[in-house]
Amino acid sequence: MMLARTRFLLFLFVCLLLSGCSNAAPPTLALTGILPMHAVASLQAGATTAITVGPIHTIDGTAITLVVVGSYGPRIYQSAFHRGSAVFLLREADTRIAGVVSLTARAGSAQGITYLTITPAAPVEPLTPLVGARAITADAEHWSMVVLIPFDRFGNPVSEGTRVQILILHPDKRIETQWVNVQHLLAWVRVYSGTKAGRTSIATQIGNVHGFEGTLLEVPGWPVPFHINANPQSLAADGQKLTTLQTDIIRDKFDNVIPDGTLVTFVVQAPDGTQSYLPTSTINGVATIPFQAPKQAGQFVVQVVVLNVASVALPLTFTAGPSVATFPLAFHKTTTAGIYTIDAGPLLGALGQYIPDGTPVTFTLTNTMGKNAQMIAVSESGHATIELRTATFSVGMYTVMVTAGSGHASLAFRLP
Amino acid sequence: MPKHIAKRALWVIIVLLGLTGVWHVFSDVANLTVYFQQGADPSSALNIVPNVPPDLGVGLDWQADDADTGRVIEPATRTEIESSYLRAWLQWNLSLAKGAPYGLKTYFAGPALAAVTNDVQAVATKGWQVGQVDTEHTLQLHFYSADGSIISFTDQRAVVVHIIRDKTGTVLLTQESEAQYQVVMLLEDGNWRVRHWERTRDTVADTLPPPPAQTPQHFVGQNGTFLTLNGQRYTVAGINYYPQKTPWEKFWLNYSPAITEHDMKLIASLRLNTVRVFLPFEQFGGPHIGQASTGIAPANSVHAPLEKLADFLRRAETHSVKVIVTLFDFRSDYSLLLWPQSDRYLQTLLTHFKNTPALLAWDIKNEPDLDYKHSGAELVNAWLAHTLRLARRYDPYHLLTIGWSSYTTARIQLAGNDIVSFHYYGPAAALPQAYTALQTVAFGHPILLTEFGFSTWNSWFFPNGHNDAEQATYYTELLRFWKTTTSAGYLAWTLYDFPSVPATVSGGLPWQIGPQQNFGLIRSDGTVKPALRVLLAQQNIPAVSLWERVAKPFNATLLTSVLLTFELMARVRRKKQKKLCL
Repeated sequence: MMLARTRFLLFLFVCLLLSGCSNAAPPTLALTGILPMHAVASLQAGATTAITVGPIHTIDGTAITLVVVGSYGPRIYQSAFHRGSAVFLLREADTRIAGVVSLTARAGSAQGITYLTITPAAPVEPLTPLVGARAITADAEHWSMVVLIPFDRFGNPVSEGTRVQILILHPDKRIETQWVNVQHLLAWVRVYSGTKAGRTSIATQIGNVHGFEGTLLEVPGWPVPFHINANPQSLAADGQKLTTLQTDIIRDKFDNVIPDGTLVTFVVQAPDGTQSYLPTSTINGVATIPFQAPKQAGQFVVQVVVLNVASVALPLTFTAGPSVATFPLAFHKTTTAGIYTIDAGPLLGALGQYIPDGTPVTFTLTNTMGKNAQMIAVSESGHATIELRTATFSVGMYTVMVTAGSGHASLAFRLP
Repeated sequence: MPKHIAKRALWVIIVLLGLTGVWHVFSDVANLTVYFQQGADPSSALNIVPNVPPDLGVGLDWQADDADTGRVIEPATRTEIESSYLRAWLQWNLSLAKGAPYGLKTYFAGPALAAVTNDVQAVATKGWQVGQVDTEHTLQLHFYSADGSIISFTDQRAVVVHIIRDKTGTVLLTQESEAQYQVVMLLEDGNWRVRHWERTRDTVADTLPPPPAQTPQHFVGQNGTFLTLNGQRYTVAGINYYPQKTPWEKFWLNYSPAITEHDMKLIASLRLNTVRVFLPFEQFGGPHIGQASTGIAPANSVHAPLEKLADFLRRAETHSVKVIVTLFDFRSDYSLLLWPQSDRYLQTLLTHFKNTPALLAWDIKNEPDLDYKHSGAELVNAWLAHTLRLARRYDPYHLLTIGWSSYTTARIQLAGNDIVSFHYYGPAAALPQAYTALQTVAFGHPILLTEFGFSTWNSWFFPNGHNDAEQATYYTELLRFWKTTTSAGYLAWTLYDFPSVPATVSGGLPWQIGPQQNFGLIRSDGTVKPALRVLLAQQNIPAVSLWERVAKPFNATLLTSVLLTFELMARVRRKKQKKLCL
């Protein structure tokens, strides 16, 4: 009997101990309905503020959660009621992002909601004007844009309506000033070109806040028609000599010289109608190319095309020469066995004079089988001579055609 | 066995084995040929990334652009902006779900990237679980720079849903808001990225669009606790419907206009005025419901899901039968990221049928309270509230309801739920109590019993079987009470017994499938059960006798088993006694 009583007492003692081990139950009071909330309506980014929930009738220590949903998502805070109210302190780190913030407090089934607008802080340096297009035609019609997204020290775009000054220094030294308000997070203006080509500098300013320079290139527009000249104006059609073709300084209608490196094409039309395209680029508004004299005399026409604008056509005449007519040809046997010569001459120019020494004279030999061999000799004292060796040429009939510029002659002979 | 017979048998076996082998070889070669004939769509080689993830489903509209946007935006650029903006939101939502920044750099830049990364990390560090999804956006273009690299627009209406849980997973907040965002995006490395955005307005989205001034002609409307049709009270006397051979998920895949015509005629002849049908989400088009054809319907039937439903409604209307269409059947995933998908599904369906008088009501979801277990009541209720709001917007003319599985959950108040509907499979005698309890919280809405029924499954091996007489009595007792109420009516479960029931309905075990197969009023062989007479003649059936209650296959099995056991024990005892005697 005693044992049973002792066991029972021991059981009660253990129960007592166990009950003592458990945590005290937190105070609870079923909360329902709407939680009254107090918060400022507006706050500058980075400022500290307190959100008060209550007063309501509840027990101290009742848990409450505040969900803050801002521009970039939710943050959650927890607290407890004390004397019917709960206070949440939103510090600088919690209020950096501008925008409308919903504050939803929840305790039990009770809920309250209020809104807080975090306004951006003052704009900070540097202001960076974004300019696009980077280059426009200087014709007083084309325009580019300057866009500015000014922000505060937390990276928030500044408040709507913030006044922005935009200063534009055009190549003609004209300074243009535009004022514009920040709208939908940015400020933008159109910048119209002037008529003088060059570099335009752009600066932006909000009060005493400054920033980087933006650059806009105002480039010359379409060229106006221009001329070409050739130096020398005329050459003998010897297939050797060079003449230099050069444009005038190419300019737009506002007298702006087209930029260096602008691609131009010389189009040369031969007397037979074939065209050659010779590309080059400009330096200081001028494009230059050397042009080799043709072998046939005649009038060529040269035109330059730049940006689809063609120059005035330049006729270019290549005169016949250096030899101008047929000349005698003679086949000789030399004293050395197996060696023969063909002599062309006298080779005469337009005035009956010998052609210049050193002028190349082409001998083209054709055998009865139709095979060709070409040999070039240079003139000396009005004559040009080639040697034929039987070791090289087989025996038989040949025809030789000799040309010296536009002069020519032919001869049939037998190589013994 | 004689030797020659054994030989012949052996030859037969060898020939059979040989034929089987040949059949297998042909079959494998055929399969291999088919395998190599199949291939990827050649266009997939181009690896073209779609503008917007195809299953995302977030709605996006544009308002008229500002008068001077700097430069007129090209349609292709507008599409790129849409894509990048929606993907930015998606990546943000995914990062919150994942609890870490995930792919944000592709869609955010500069201050926006820093801010969104910080917030995702801050929430994750504290162990909070933030679910977020955007469901709709309405954009208005303000500025597009001359060089095509900067854009500024306002998202006038960003519908965003938040579900916030603490470390233990307890839901702290469920909120749907309509916010306004100012957005600046920059084109960097060929991608449009959000450089800045600022929320400039926010309201809680909990209001319904105003109802139409009056219910259109031939539409069922609501007047207090009654339903009305053309100014007259309309009491639902209806039945839940699947075709007999193709119930549940097979219904719409094998939709047959001829069967529908036959069954609607039958239902009308039973003097029933309403049917309730179900649209299983996946089988009824799923996220691709708007597309022309599922390609899986038989060649002789109408193809597209919308056309099938239109045909069904047309035939029902021909027989003066109204239809309650239950949406999202068998869709039990309430994940936030899937909400836009279901929104678009709803939009397609409701805008298509909003002018159809044959529709009595849209039943948003069948027995959503059964999903509380795995999805949580807060999430399910939040989706229901969201979907009701949308449904009212897309179709202001038809009534809305939710088919709660019991009268206890039917008491949940959700704005937009026009008809308080519930299912009842309990004892007929307890229905008055349930009705009274529900009536006190229905707040002047019609109460509709959208499912009740009694299975005649009477197994030899499982208890709790019932017979046709008991079913008829149940119908009699239940309807006797229900007709005395001021309710909006009833719909029985169901017209037919079914040859098969998918395991997803109530489980795959025999005692789960059996009852589901035998709730019908018409047996599988086409004969009618006595309970049909209750509906047809509106007459009472005599109470079930004690003998009918007792004489059941299972009881017979039980009795036989007991008798056999006794007999077996007696024999054993007799054998023992004999041994003892010996």
